[in-house]
Amino acid sequence: MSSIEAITVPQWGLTMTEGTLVKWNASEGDAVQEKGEIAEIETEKIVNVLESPADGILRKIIGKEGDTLPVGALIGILASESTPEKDIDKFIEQYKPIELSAPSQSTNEVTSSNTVSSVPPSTSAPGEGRVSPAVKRLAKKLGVDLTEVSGSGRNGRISKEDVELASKDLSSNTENEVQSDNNDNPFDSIPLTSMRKTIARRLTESKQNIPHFYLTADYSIDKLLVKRKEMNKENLKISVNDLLIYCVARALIEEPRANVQLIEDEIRQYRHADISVAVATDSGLIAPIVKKADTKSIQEISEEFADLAKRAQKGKLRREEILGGTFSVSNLGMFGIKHFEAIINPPQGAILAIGGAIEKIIASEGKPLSANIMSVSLSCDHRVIDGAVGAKFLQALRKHVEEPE
Amino acid sequence: MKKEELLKVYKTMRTIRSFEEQCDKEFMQGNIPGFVHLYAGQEAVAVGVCSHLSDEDKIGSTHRGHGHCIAKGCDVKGMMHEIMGKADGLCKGKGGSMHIADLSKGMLGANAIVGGAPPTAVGAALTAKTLGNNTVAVAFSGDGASNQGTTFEAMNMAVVLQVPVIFVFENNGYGEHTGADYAVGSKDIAKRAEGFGLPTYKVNGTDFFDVYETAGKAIKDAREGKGPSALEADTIRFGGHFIGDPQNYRAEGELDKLRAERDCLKIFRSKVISDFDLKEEELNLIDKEVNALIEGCTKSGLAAPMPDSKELTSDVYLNY
Amino acid sequence: MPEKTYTEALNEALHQEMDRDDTVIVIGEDVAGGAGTQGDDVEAIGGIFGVCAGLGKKFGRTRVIDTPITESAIVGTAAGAAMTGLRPVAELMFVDFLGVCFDQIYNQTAKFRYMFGGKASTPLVIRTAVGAGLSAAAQHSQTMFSTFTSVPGLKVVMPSNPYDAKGLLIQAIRDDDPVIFCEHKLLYAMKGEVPDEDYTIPFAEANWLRDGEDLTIIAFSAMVPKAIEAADKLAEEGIKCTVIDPRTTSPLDEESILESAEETGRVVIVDESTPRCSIASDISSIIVDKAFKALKAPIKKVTAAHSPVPFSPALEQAFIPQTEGIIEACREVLGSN
Repeated sequence: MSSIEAITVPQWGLTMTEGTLVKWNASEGDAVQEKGEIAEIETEKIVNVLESPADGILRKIIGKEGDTLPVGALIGILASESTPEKDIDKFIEQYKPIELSAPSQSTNEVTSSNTVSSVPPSTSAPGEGRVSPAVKRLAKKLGVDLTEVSGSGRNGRISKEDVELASKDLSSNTENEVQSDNNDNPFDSIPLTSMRKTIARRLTESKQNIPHFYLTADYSIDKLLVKRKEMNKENLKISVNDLLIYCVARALIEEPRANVQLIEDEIRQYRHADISVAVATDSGLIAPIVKKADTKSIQEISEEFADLAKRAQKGKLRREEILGGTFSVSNLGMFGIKHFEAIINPPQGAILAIGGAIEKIIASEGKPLSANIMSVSLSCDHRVIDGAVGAKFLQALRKHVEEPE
Repeated sequence: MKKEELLKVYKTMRTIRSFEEQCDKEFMQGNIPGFVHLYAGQEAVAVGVCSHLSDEDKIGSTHRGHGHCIAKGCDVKGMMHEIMGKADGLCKGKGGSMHIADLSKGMLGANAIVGGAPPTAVGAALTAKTLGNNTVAVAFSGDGASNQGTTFEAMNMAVVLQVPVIFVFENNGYGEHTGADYAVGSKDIAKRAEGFGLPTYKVNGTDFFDVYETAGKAIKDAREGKGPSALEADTIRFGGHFIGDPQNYRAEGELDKLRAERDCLKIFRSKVISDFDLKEEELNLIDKEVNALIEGCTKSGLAAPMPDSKELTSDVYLNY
Repeated sequence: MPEKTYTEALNEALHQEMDRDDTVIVIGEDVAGGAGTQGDDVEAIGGIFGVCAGLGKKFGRTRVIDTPITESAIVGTAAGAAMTGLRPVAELMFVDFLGVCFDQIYNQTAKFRYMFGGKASTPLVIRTAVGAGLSAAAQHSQTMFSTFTSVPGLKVVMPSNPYDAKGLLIQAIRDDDPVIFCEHKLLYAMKGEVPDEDYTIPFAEANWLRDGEDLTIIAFSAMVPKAIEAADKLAEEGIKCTVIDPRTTSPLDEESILESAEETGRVVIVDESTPRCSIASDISSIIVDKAFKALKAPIKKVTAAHSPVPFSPALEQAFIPQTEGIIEACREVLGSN
């Protein structure tokens, strides 16, 4: 081999940013073989062995034992015995570590440079694509490489829409490469989609900022099941969930203090129940809204929700069908979940988590009785909903669920 | 003309000259903001014409308007304060050199727009005719303004409406930095004005008496309802277009020659001494008086306060 | 890079374009000066602000034409020449003079192409000095930006620094549409880096002079240095502003403005014009129309007062928007939630 090869601090794992060179296993002038263990590098309290990238002579040692260096830093030079010293020196001089795009830098880092532009930025030749600073930041946030984006604007200008489009393409085009990390356990790399990122951000915000408390109640839904059976005799396709949405809506009207949003310092107590109903789709959890559910019949709710759920699966919901909502309902009963506590969707004040009904033996007036018991959990934002209010809502709901009209 | 009248004429012309010279000094020292266009050298025209006018007669002027202002009787102190931008200036500091006005003296304002005044003067003349109050209007213009469309329109309008306005064209040889010879296509401003249907006259603008006599006739005719007329006065300005103009368009020695041969004050002095029996000492006394007046105005002007910023938006409307 | 003044930059642009293209002529009052005096070979002034210095001597009086004081005829003649094969750069010495020639600008020059079904081309540049700050008083200090911008058929350009001045003037001369090129009097002496070679800056391309996510300041012409001053002062407090100079109000780089407005949600617009129907009002309305949901506070406009430009320096300084006023407006916008 006649070429000069760089030995650098490797990137082990996604989060590694630097490593400490603990020990060289070879000295300057030694011959090393490809994959031979030439050094030991410590990272995150674990010492790993660095393998040589190629055959050759270890002509120069640059990183010293004990040095802590960033990933990609040059620590040694491999070359042949005959390679002239000055070539090696030149190589070292010109060496630039490769910019490893660590995904850990996806936090909202503001690079607001206050550099003077009394000489304005160089004028772009037509087709060279101007990008405004705001759009550059957006691209960084969405993980879009601007050099890959074709600008649709004047003179190849790259607009916000161009970047957002490119970002969508990114999430849909990524092949799930099968990768392997050092643990010899292959994995599929699935980058976070915009949707996932949004879910991640919102729910983290919610859990961090909202003082959640939880109220649990068990309802007997036998009568509800009977009603469902009767309605479906007329060739309808009413589900238990439809009935529950109906009941929740009416309960919210009776206890409107649970039908609220908190906007800044203002509690908005709504006159109608716009119920966000959680739907699990392939791309993630989404909650289309049944608007003014309190004014709709069970049949209307059923038909509307069926349509919303279908379109949710296809990703065809409109913005106004997702944004808004005064109260949320999430039902994992069909998966055999007995009970769970859901995370509130801000700016709403509460969310009802519904578990599956279990046939149980309960006590009724001192005698054993078989009943279908469904467990619900109401998560409340204590800033706007007190325990008593939550409890009263669950009371109202019980009435509707256990004694349907 | 009687002796007192002559002394008054001299005083007015002298006041203009001294005022302008003082402005030059103050401007160079940084005490006058903005742009100033000096009238020095043209005094005989302003005074020759305005001597026939009362406070009720109206005049419209140009950006080179200090002379017309003083000749029409505006308060010199108020003018100096105005030019310095002071609160108690003639226009509360809002107009400045190029927009000095005093309606109580019939001075409808200096005008920064070349050719801006003639139409206004025609309007004043229309009022005079309509109200039948025996007054006239005079529109002072330069050779530069004589080429402006608004001036042509004003002359035509005056003839069509037969209103008592006199168009006085002060041809000082230069429109800004361009020669009148080049810019006035017909070469002869008076002759061109004739084409509009006006009786026209030509006068030597550095000879007060020539101006006085001819202007007197034109103004009398207008007062008697005989309609508008035009006067072309051949005159000179000693300064540049504005204070600070390097005057590269002048020939070498031109200014010296003008000062020696065509200084209207010098010409007037020698004439009144030889033909009207005025004494050198009487005129020198007036010089002294005027200098004291100008000095006083300058002092008070420099000391006077600037307008309060609260005054910024007052006088935009009468009521809003 | 060599440092030149705004005037020198403009002068260079004229020299270079007149060198490159024989059909480019300069016409106006005292653009050379001295016509009809002293034998006609004197360049008495080279333009009242010196922008045309040296042109008369170099290219002669057939291509550098001194005119009488007769704006209507100047603009009208230039427009006619433009429509028939020349590329005139006419000078309207002060924009306030547009009154005596506005018909030739807005009814003739601006409308020829449209009225004649696209068959006419009027590559006319009208250079004009705008703005207050020199105590030139009411009839020599206006901006008139919105008057021109509102006329379909005209392009309106107002460079805020020497580099932009040269690039935009060259662009204007090469542009086949009529361009009103507004040079602010206070900027003539401004120094900046200007390349020696010729270059263009496309219209409708805003310049971003400061970058920040907290607030957007839009400013143009002589307001740009003040906006930058305000932004830098706020930066000391940790408030990071984007400063956008649209450079041209017709056509307008809406995209850049909207992108920043959508990012920050807080906008301050600085415009030296009088407030009613100003460019500031126009841009504000565009943002509200197209980015309303992104706004976190009402848009604040910092403009001159609704009055003629006063003469006295004390009043004139109160008339013109100042850096403190801009900072105040920024705080208001930030304070609102």
